[in-house]
Amino acid sequence: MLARDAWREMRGRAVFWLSAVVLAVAVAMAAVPGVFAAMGPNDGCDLRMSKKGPASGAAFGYDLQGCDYWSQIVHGTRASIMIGIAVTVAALAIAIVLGLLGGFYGGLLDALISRVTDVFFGIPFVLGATVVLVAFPDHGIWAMTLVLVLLGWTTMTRLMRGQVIAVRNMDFIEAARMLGASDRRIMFRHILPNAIAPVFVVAMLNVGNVIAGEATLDYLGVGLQYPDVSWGLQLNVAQSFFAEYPHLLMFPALFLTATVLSFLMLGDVVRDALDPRLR
Amino acid sequence: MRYAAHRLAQAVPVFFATTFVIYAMVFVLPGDPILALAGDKPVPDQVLDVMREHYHLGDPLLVQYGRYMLGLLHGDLGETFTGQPVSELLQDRWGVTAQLATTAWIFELAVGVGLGVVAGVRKGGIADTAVLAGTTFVIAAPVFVVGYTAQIVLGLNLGLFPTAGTDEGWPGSYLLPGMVLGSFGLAYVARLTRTALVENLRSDYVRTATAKGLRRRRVVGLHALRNSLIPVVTFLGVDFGNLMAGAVVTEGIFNLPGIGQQVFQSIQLQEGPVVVGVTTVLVMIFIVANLAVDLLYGLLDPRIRRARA
Repeated sequence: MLARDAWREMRGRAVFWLSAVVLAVAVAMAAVPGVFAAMGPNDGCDLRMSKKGPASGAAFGYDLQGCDYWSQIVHGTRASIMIGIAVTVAALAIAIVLGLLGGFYGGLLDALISRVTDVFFGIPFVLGATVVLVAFPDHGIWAMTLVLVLLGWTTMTRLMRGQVIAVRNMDFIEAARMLGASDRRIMFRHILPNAIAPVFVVAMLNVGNVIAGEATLDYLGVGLQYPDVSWGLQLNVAQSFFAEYPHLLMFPALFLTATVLSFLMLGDVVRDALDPRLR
Repeated sequence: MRYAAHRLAQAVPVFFATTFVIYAMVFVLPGDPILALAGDKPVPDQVLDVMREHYHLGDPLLVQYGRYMLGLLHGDLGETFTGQPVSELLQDRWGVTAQLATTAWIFELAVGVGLGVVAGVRKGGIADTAVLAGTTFVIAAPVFVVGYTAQIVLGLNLGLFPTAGTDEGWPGSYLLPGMVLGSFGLAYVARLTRTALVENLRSDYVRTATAKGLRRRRVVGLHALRNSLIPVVTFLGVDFGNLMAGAVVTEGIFNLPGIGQQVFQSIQLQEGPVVVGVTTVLVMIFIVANLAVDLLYGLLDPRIRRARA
């Protein structure tokens, strides 16, 4: 019922369609880059074309290695989208399980989970991630995902726990218990559907934040490494040359910002649709 | 008072656990700092043994951590693998980062709350739409993109601010970096203020205040805004720690010699003691700020104070 109402609310809004289209294009670029790009990643590079600006045949110009910048940017989409979604799904799963357990049972288990959450919440993101990533220099996309999950599951867990506590003492939970429902059934069938909405909204916003965070680590030079291709890496290269060659900075920044922006706007629209009080 | 003691009792184990996790991350992870110090040259075994002995690298992790914490009580952050005390290395740098973070924080508070109020008093108006669109954009753009754009446009092309370094001192040199560092938090503050204000302006006590014939300014400023600032205070408290840690990127862009730059170099050189020292202090700031926020709640909202007593 709620989902159908939310959908009716969302489909009438231009912002929803705008971000949905941007994200559809981004996901398509991540899934089948060959359709959009003429060249493969790091393919057909010509050092003589290094850093040349947009020209006929290369609408986005060339990067430092003289590769077609448009193709490089298209291939950079996959790292951002995959890491953003994988990290969020994993963090959401952790948040649901820990939030349900802590919020439902309370007591010692809750205290333990809450303190562990506090500990990881207190680790500064950039510094913590840098320490781990520098120690394992040969990390790929999955190692990056793991590090980002490790530092990024706390916010949703706290929110989930709070939601569960708010729902736990409602009459219908008491009714379910009296009808003989098991703890697990109460948690997953009765509490979860009534507690998940705000957490789900934060998860959507989180995809955007993770993508920005991953790009920041790439930009600092501790994330993905050449020959991987990502927007963050392109911005890392661009930082030394952007004054004379602004296109190096502009195009990946544009793609990165548009993608993050779309996830954030989508999250906003979903929240407005799920929470009629804010209308 | 009992509440304060309870919160303090919770914060202490969290402090030790967090610093231990960081300590373990820095010192257990692969890579030998003594070997790294020598670069590509071979190191004689005697030298290795003496160095490891001096830095207690052979002791169990918990013992090392315990020794470190005891030193911390005397303000001793350990020494680097080249023999320089960490606290000395960081002495001049804390000031730079603290000035930067404070500038950003003031900017968040003043401009953020201001924009939030302008947007919130007339929900759906032009100002509201502009603030919502602008803040979404700022939240979406990664800080280094905002930083470089501001540096090129405001610093280089328009010449409004110095582009890099700390030559002009505070506030001149810190205005632009502070604005960049604070832009993300500013957007959050503006949105939090707006949402809370919109909600509060619809509440019964605001209607009562209006019905009593109070002027609009007083209703919004005194009644609604005070209640709306509770989530904002939470965010600002937590964010001060984030600003200190987030300074890594901003200091890099604007070439400010703060702790962010230092710690980033140290991580890459595997200077574990510096990384642990800085992170420990950051965690302390973070936890103290959180604690302060919790205690501030009571002052802002008597209902919370009474519920806890």
